[in-house]
Amino acid sequence: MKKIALLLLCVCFFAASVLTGCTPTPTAEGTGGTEAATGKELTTLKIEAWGIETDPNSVIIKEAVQLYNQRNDNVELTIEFTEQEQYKTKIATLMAANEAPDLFNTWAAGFLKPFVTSGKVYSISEDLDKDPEWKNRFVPGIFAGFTYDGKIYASPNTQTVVCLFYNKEIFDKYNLEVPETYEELKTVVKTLNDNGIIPFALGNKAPWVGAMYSELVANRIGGSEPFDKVYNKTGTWLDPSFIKAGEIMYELAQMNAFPEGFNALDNDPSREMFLEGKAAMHVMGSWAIQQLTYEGSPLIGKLDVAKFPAIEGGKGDINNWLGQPDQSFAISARCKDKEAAVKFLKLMADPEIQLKFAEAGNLIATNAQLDPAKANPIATKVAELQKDMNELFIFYDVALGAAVGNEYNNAIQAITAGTDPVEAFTTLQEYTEQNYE
Amino acid sequence: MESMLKNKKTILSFILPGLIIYILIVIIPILNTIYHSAFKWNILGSKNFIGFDNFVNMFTRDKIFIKSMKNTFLLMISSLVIQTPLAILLAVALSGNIKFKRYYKTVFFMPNIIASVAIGLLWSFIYNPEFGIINRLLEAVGLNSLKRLWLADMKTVMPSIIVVICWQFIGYHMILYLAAIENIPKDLREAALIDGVNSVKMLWYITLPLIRHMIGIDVVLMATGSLRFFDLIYVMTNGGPNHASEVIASYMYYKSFRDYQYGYGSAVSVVLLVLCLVIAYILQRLFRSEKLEY
Repeated sequence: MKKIALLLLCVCFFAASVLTGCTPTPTAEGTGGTEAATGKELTTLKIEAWGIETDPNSVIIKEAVQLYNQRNDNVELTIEFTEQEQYKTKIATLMAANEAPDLFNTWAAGFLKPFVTSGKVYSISEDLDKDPEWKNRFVPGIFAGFTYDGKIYASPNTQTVVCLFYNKEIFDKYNLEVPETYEELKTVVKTLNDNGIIPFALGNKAPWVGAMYSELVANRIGGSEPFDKVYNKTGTWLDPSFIKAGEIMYELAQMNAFPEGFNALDNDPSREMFLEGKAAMHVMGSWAIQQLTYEGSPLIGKLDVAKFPAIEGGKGDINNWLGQPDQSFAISARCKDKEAAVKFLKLMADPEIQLKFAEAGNLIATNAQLDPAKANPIATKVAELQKDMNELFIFYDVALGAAVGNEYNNAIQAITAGTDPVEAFTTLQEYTEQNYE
Repeated sequence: MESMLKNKKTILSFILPGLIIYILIVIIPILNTIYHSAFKWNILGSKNFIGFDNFVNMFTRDKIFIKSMKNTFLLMISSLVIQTPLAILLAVALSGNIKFKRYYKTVFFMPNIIASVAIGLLWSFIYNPEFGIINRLLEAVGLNSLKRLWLADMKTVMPSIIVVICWQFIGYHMILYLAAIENIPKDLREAALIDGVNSVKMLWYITLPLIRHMIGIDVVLMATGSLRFFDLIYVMTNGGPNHASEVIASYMYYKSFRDYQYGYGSAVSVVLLVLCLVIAYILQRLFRSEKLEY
């Protein structure tokens, strides 16, 4: 009986709060603390970044922080790294609690959007305009994902594009050409299967991996327009290009283009399959270059990279690349010393640091030119292929934000496991209507 | 002493510290959650008051919520149906005169001492389609057609998890019943034996009626426990693939902390609270029994 009484009590409280009309309290906006005095006083700025501290890119960022601290007497930067998935939760929590760090690592489009719209992020537009030399370092169009209402909110340091990596040795052994169309791809898959080689190393347990394939296929079929329409709420997921892409994903799964049990396989072991030569191809973001060409990697000399094949009769250009600006940093609105923070962004975009990123096998976000001898050959090849780039279209789950993005990935995973594409996309459409803002 | 304890102020001063802590960490958060369930809120932006819309959406349009509700009930019913009889039978078996009694007791109770996260990882390895023991075993005896992806297949994921849950909790319930059975006075059993009952009749007419109160308590424990089940699912599947193993608690987590729909997540947790209260009440009524006297 006590529990019932408690329940009644709860209901009464609830009713009371409804009746008295609880006005939503406006969230206190970070007014961006007082500018630090330019005297000898030491200002400490805190940076939150994602990644493992020993990752090659994290090491470069840490070096940049040390360099900054050596050169600036009155500002000290501290940096903390958190594993990627936990980082997302951590930063959202810090933002909500109004305890945002001075600088933070961010992703483009849907990830940063809620923080920007709630006034937690400082726009760097003016600073960029004040220093054209800094602004002009960046490759054209790279700020698109960080622009909200015409203002820029973060500066990227690298770029990520999804490439088709393949094992040259295996392709030569079976006299195969890199597929340029879907029909050619199917022939390649058959030949590889006949010889006991896994065609694609795909570990789809975390469903974003398989979703990358489907995003490329959908873009090759219908171009960027259908997704842009979903993004702007003028179109739906029931566009034929999405459904056709789902059918192709299912067809590939049925043809055994992916490893046995790929929906239960993690991404890392799937990369091992590719490294060991058990699988011939690997569709992955360019971040994988580091993981595939480390010193002593069994793939050195065998690895090559190509554009994702076209689909017969499709509207999408083969020079549309899936990807995003990466390793981006934003300044929070409550940052104690914005000038000092901007200075750090400038240092990161300086060739001094950018070339380190390039040497580690990243595609960089600026025009810094790397000595070809020092460059990672695969990264150079990707940069070469990218020269004809028509358009960079952003990962769906990044563009749409967590709620709808995760659901898209889930839908593709379900399709590869046998759910009817029309049914899956109808459900996704309903979900999008309810949850997309 | 007597008079001091009758003094209301004295009573209050003893209760107050505990009561304050209880109110702060239980009652207030619950009320707070109920309050937030009436809003559309992403933690960061402003809260928009939408009344009962969250609840209406949940039951009329949100297929994933309906799915997670079905899974939760499946989990509860299968726990009750599988674990209760098995736990009682094990308890009866162990209450007899058998060898290595203490050893068996420890073995059955063991999974309960291991942390859920460890159990989740352990069974994830067992179910692993590549090197997991189940698929390997099936392969070894030539039953390749029975091999499954277990945790990655939308059809097998719930049964696979239910097996683990039973494995984890059966020992705990067994200990409860064992304690109840050992409380039954010996002379009752001896009298029955002299009258010549067999072991089935002993179980049916003597043991079961005398541990009825324990069954009542245990069923409530089991039901509310499985309603708010979370940890194993979070570790083993995170509600996947494609929400096939989503339960209400994991969906609440998903909505609040992955999708950042905090108001909606609060509404889901309110539904969970109400469900727990209602079911606990119904079950308690069902098993209400007079005070037991041997």
